Amino acid sequence: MLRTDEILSTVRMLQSEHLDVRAVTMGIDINDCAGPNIDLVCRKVRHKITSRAARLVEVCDEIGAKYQVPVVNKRLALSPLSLLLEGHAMPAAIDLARAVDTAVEKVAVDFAGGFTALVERGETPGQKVLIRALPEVMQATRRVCASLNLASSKAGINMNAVGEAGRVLRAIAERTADQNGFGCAKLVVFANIPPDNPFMAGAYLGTGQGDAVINIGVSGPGVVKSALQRLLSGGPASLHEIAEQIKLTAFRVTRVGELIGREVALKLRVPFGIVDLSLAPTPEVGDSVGEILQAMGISSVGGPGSTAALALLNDAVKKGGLFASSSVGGLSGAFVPVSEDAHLARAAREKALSLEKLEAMTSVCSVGIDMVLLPGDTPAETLSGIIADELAIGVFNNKTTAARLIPVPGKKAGDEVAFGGLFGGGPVMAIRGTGENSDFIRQGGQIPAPLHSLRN
Amino acid sequence: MPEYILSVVARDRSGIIAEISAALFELGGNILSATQSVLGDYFAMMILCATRAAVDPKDIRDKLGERVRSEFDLFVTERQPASIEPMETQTFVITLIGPDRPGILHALTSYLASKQINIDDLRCQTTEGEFLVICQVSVPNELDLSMLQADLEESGRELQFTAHMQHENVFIATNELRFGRAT
Repeated sequence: MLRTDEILSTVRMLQSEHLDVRAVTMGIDINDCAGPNIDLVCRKVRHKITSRAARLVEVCDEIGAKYQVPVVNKRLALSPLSLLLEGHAMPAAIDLARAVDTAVEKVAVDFAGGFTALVERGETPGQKVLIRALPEVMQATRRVCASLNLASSKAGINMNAVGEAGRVLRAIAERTADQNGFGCAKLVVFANIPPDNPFMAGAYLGTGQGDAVINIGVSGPGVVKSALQRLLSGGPASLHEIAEQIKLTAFRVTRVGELIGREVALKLRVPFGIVDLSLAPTPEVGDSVGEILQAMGISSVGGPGSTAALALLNDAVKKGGLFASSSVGGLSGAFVPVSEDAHLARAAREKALSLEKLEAMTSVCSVGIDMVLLPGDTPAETLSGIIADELAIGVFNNKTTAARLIPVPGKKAGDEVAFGGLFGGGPVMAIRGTGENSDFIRQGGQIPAPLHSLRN
Repeated sequence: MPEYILSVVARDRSGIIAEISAALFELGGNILSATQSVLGDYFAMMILCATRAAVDPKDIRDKLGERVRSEFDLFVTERQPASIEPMETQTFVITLIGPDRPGILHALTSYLASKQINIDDLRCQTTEGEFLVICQVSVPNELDLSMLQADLEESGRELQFTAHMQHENVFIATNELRFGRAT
């Protein structure tokens, strides 16, 4: 029989501390839609998405109601579309992206990831087509998310592709200038991209994941913050006690995610994949990674101590989550997306959080320099330089890192930009040394894989 | 073997269970299951007890009277087989929290009875003018869950109460090391 205090603490987590399931993401492999006739490919893709995901939203809502745990986002992660573009030209990429956009709208899902190319060592013709099509696709579609894997610990960093990514970002920003460069928010570039990540914009279905799978992103930071505040309201606590409290909370949060995920998968007759432990903030007050750090005593995020506090948080979340589930995967760390986290955006506005400190913080968490607004006139080589630095942290520390940079046309450092909704808003951040070191990027070639890539 | 259901209520003190169990032991009884709690300084216990041979319930009462050294109320009867056809059900937890006043539990339980929802476990407490009800109920599978939830939330609002009805698995998942049974 359940104990009264346990029931009440669960009810409190669900009702007043933002406990929810952040994302139920259905992975769908669409490689069986390949063919030489792009119209037929598009028809098959539309059919496969609309038949596989037809009941996704309905089932998520039904299971969510049974437990009174809302499933905030229902999404799709497709196998890399670049594979369907082999042997095709640019117009095919646009058609394919539009077909996905239409199908995704039909099943009432907000985003589908998978406009993806894995180019850590080089590009195939299909991948070249996909990358060249990115500016137009990001402008012409609403629900399609893109990702590029530009580096890995096994391959090193493809600096040709990194250079190209800078130019692509500038082009996307210009094409979506009327939305403050919002198109860039739908493109993430990675080192060591995980094949089972349920979070946008970097979700895609890797090879070896089966034909369809359900992956889960657990609840956001609100529950952890409330748990810490409750602990600290009883008097000061040591960092060891704080880590224990985070672990305990992560355990419970992960359990809820796995419970919902397994049941959704069962109902949809699709295998259950992984639970991603990442703490993903939203712009809502009380749902912020920055506020967790504040509860731990970091009154100014970006100031001294911030990296250590974030490391403690990230590690404790993993330890609690790993005990709760045997299916942990994806990114599984704390996110620090500046525009999507009101507290981090404020820290950037007050100049406590600089781009350089953010980069340092991403060495101890996932996923990287995320949702960072940059001056619109930032040269492509400078964007590539920021990307290369971030990817190097991932490659040389054997972890996933990523960059989601938004050069906002017509804006300069300190200007405010608002995207609204989950994407939030914040200040344009300053870059030290804009335009410098472009020669390094223009060298091109490959930064070799690090020594620890040879593990056999 | 015949089985008997006993319910004992007495002012709480130490030693009551020792005295009850001694009486049952001397009658050749074997306790199969028991629950006990204390509420408002009163002790209450329910016992399911089997005996080798049939015992007159009056003899059980007399034996307890010899052994238990304080006043008590006793109900005792021979256990009869269940008269209700078992239904396919799932266990849900209902929580109700709001300002204390008479009639809250009556409103909730009347509604549950009207839907043939059986209460398996119920706890209520009043703290600083706030009344809390937590009950675990067996909901027949044929009932529409979203309708029940909507009814409960609406009647909760009328009483200025927050009412929730959630499947027990979410409480098992967040509080125990095991997962609940998949449904």
